[in-house]
Amino acid sequence: MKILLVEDDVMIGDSLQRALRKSGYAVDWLQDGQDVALCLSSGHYTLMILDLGLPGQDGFSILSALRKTGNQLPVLILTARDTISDKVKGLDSGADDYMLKPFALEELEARIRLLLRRQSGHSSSILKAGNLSIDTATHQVVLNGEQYMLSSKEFALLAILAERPGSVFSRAQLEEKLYGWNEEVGSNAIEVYIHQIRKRLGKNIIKNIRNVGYSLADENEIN
Amino acid sequence: MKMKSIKRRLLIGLSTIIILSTLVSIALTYFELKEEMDELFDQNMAQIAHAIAVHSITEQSDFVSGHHDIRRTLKGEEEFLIQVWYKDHLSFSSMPALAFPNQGEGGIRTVLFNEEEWRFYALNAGDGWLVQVSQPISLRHTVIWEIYAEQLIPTLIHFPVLLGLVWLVVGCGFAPLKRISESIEQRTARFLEKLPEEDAPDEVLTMVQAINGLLDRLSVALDTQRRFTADAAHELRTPLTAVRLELDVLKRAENEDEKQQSIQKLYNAVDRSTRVVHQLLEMARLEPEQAHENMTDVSLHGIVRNIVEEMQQSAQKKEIELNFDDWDNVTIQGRFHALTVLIANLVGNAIKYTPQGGKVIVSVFKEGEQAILSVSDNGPGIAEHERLRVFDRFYRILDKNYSGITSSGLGLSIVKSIADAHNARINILDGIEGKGSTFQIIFAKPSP
Repeated sequence: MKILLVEDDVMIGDSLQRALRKSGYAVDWLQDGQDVALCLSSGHYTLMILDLGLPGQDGFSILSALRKTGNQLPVLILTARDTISDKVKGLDSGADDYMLKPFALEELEARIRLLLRRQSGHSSSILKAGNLSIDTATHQVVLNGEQYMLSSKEFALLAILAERPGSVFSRAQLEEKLYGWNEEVGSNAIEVYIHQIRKRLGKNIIKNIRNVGYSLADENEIN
Repeated sequence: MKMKSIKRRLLIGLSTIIILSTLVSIALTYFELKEEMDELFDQNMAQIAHAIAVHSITEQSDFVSGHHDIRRTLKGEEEFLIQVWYKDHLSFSSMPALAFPNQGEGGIRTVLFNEEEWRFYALNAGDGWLVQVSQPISLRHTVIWEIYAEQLIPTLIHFPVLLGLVWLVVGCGFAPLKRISESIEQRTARFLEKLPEEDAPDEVLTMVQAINGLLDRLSVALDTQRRFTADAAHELRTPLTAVRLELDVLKRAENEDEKQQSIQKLYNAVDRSTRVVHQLLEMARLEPEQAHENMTDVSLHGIVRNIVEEMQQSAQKKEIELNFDDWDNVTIQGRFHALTVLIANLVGNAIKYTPQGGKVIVSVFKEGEQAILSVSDNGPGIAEHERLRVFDRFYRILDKNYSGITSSGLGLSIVKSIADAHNARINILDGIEGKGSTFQIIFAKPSP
């Protein structure tokens, strides 16, 4: 789950990046509007948090340009501009949500989850596969009625797999989704996380397809 | 009492003129009428006398005995007392009971009879005959007054109508003024639209134009104020967002390290809010102060020396060499407090943006007629295209060299506003040895 954060304020950007990373999101942070297009074309993002007052290129035009190319990436505008006309313009330009600064981190995260859910076609924060249920809001994992606690990265990895059961993700894909820039990726970090998840939830929970990647086990295999 | 209303003044003036001229015309009419009537009656008397003299006098006839009129007063203005004497013997009297004496002489005159003024015409008809036609003047006056009254009525009707019309015309003349003042009354801080100039009369057009100019300036000032308030609110919202966000992060801290990191960030964010508030206050205070503080002889060099001394400590903290090149003792016409703020801002900025171990040089010198204050550093410098924009309120340079340095974005805008108030120009040049930047404030004319 990778988020592109476009925010020119150093303090807010830094705090937000740390907070979101801690919640298990991979976050790339841009301070300038000009680099957004380039970034979007090279990275696989699931969501963009966009400030409006940016140096280089302002938020509205970034958004319009993005939608013009047919990109459906969920975009959440996070700004101090509180006039109705700004809100209307933001939403009409193609934003999926509009939040005002100052904001509560919990609310921002709830809205992020909502946008991600909508993007993947789920209607609640709970992902289900067989006897496994994952709550993306509370980070609760329940298997066969029993609760498990996972670290944020472990949880994020499991959630990525559970979101599209049956799909196979390569190690590079998973790394890309799990890490932002400047985040150190250990050479076998993915393997370590998968090992941890299997240790807690049982060996069968994740399938390893040799030379291709990983996927969540089939529903009937989860127990 | 001083009369302030032009309208009232006009009305009173015009009414007075109308009243006086009416009175004069009434009086003139009376005297003219009286004169004409007197003449007319005198002629009547003369005609009667002549008629009697020509037709009625027969030799030695005696009319008196045949007359039995015993009235002592005449009926009205149309009746005359007619008397005929023959050799001092009253031979005829139209009213024998009325003994108006024989005046003896010919011609027309006025005499007193029975304590009344009488007008008579005596005609010496020859052969001892004297015809005398007379009448009391009061009778004439009665008829003059009657005629006069008839003539007076139209004047008396005409008079109030005239006054009313004057009132109306003056009122109409002042209507545009009233409209203008009504439309001025509608203007408020939120509604500063220009007054309509097309229906303003020539006499007040310049005033309306002046008011429109004032409205314009007012609206610009209010807009600036409004924008400033909005900008200020926006600018405060950003550090407050950082505080709020970091508090959320702190709440989720899982270990002491994370906690300490968040607390440090919180301090920074609060300091930043404080700085913004401080600069906003400084800016808000500066404007009225600039208006009040008078220009006096201010020693630039004295201010710089104080500030360099004060800032030495913060420079040393960053191991920055802060020097004052004291070329000339330059005195300019200026405002001490504002100039102190200007110089402190420039030197403070230079220290803030110059990295550890850098150099800041402040100098004051004369160049011909100009006094120049210059602050140079060897920090990251300001790109050519940003040199104009840095003076905008809340403008911040976005450059990796500047990241990590928090700024309110107001400092240089304060500098600009003070320089403007001193008619000084600002130049941004390259800094020390081609690195960093130099801010030059060029004051036009130093005092001798």
